[in-house]
Amino acid sequence: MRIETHALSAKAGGRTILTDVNLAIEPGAFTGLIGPNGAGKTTLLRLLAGLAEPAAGRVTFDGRSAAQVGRRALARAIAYLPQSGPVHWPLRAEALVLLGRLPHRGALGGITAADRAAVERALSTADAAHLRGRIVGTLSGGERMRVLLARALATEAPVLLADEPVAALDPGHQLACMTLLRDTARRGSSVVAVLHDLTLAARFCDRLILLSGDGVPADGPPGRVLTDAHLRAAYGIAVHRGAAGGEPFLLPWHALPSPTCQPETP
Amino acid sequence: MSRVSRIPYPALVAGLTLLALALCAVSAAVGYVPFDLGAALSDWLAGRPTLTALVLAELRLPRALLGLLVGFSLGLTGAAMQGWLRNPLAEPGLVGVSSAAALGAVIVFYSGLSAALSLALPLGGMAGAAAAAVLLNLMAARGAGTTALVIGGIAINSLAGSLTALALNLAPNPYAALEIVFWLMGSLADRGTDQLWLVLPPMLAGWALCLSGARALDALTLGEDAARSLGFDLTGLRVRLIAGAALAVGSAVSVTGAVGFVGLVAPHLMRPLAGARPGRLLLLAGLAGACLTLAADIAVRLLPTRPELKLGVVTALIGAPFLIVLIARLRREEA
Repeated sequence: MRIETHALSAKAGGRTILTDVNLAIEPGAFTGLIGPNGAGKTTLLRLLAGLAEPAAGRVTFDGRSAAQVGRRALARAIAYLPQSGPVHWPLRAEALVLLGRLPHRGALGGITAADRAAVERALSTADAAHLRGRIVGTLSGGERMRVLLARALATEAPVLLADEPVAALDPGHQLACMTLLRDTARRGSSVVAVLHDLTLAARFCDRLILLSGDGVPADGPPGRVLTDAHLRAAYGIAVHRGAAGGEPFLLPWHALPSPTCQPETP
Repeated sequence: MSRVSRIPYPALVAGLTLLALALCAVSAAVGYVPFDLGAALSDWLAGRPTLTALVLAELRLPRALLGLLVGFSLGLTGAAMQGWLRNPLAEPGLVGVSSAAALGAVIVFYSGLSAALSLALPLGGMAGAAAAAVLLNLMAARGAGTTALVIGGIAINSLAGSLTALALNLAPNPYAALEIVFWLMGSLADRGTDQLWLVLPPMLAGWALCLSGARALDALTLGEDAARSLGFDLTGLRVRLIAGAALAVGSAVSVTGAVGFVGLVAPHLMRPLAGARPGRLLLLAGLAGACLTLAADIAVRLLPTRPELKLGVVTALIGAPFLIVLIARLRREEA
């Protein structure tokens, strides 16, 4: 599914955070959504998922509006993983992953063999099959994220939108999670993830969209987005660069004493 | 790792249904006059208008069946409210429908209408519950979130409570006040077939509305955004659950008065057996609520206290300590 935004604007708490955003999310790419706090990354992700109404402009899904696609068809097409992924009841991991199949189940239909098979595939892809019998509340942060990812993968939707999927993970689990998201995109899905770690974003994403509070200053391959000028203007930081095994990396090195480091202040 | 039920869901439903029906039969057999249930049943089925057949058809059966219906309504809506608000402390009356129903009934009591018409009391209660449901949905339509709705429910609760107190305060004589207080304590005694037929249709409609939300409640386990991304219309869910609670609990309170704790305890009892899935919990909590209410109503007749204890008093006396033990155990398991 191709998701497009047309002259999109959004407000949060009376403040305009996205202005005239025109983007197209194409299948088969892993896109990272980056930008400072308050730049509207989560807002944009929710708009792409059809979960919020824009202040102006519109979002189309294969050229149609969310209402034209229909709630259930949209749910089968887009899997959405919210930030910090709350789980309110002590469910077993397998039952939680099965929730990802809800868009495919009829009003009264039971769980089909196809549902079971999709849950198995999702559990093994997310390396969470051994956790199936565990109560979600007893899992560690890394295990929990794997189960939540499996829930989103179980929908087998052509689009996966994830809000800060690696935020609470240790470095090992961060690398595993980013690899999993990139592999999901390689299998033909569109994957969009909100990311704060610029090094991971640079290494794993095919495309980065930089948001800066008043628009999209940069959009393209990581090398073209993560320039010193863009990073200084958007984050107010200077970075330290290097390369390992032929892959470039960058480390946020120090904050710059510049008014641009507070993009929130009007 | 916590204990997780391995009993298949259909077996659980069948077992609890059988238990509820058995308790219904026991309830019909228990009473203050010596009673041959078998003879009464055969007389009644054969159409012989004997005294025992009359007692069964007009007193015992309505009481037992009302116990079943009221208990199921309380357990089911309790589970629905807990799942909707994702809060194990939610109970059927949280959105204000119980106290509004009680106020409606008390107004009828106070106005003297209940003496003129036996069905005036439940009708007044149902009108009160409906008013609360309409008020809540109006608040929600103006964009109030879940927290604002709960606060709205608390406001309706305290308004209805203070108006009920006002009615007591202004009661024409102490006996009228006493009658209202006793009614508010909740009881299934001396309810007839009229009340049964009056509350059956709205209760069934309320059950259907609550049960239709099962899938959406499952999805809400992951939070509101994720539930919507899974294709569920949360506005529709809210309207269905508030209407369902008003119909089921409003009718229940209208005929029995306030029967506390069943709606809070039944979902807690059943949650481990449902694997904590909110959708599956609905039916199980309903059946458990029916069993608890029937058992408590059998107990008030078996206890030697005369006049019999009020049902609401017994459910609260058993329910409150039970809840404390349950919470203590939950904390130990979490630790």
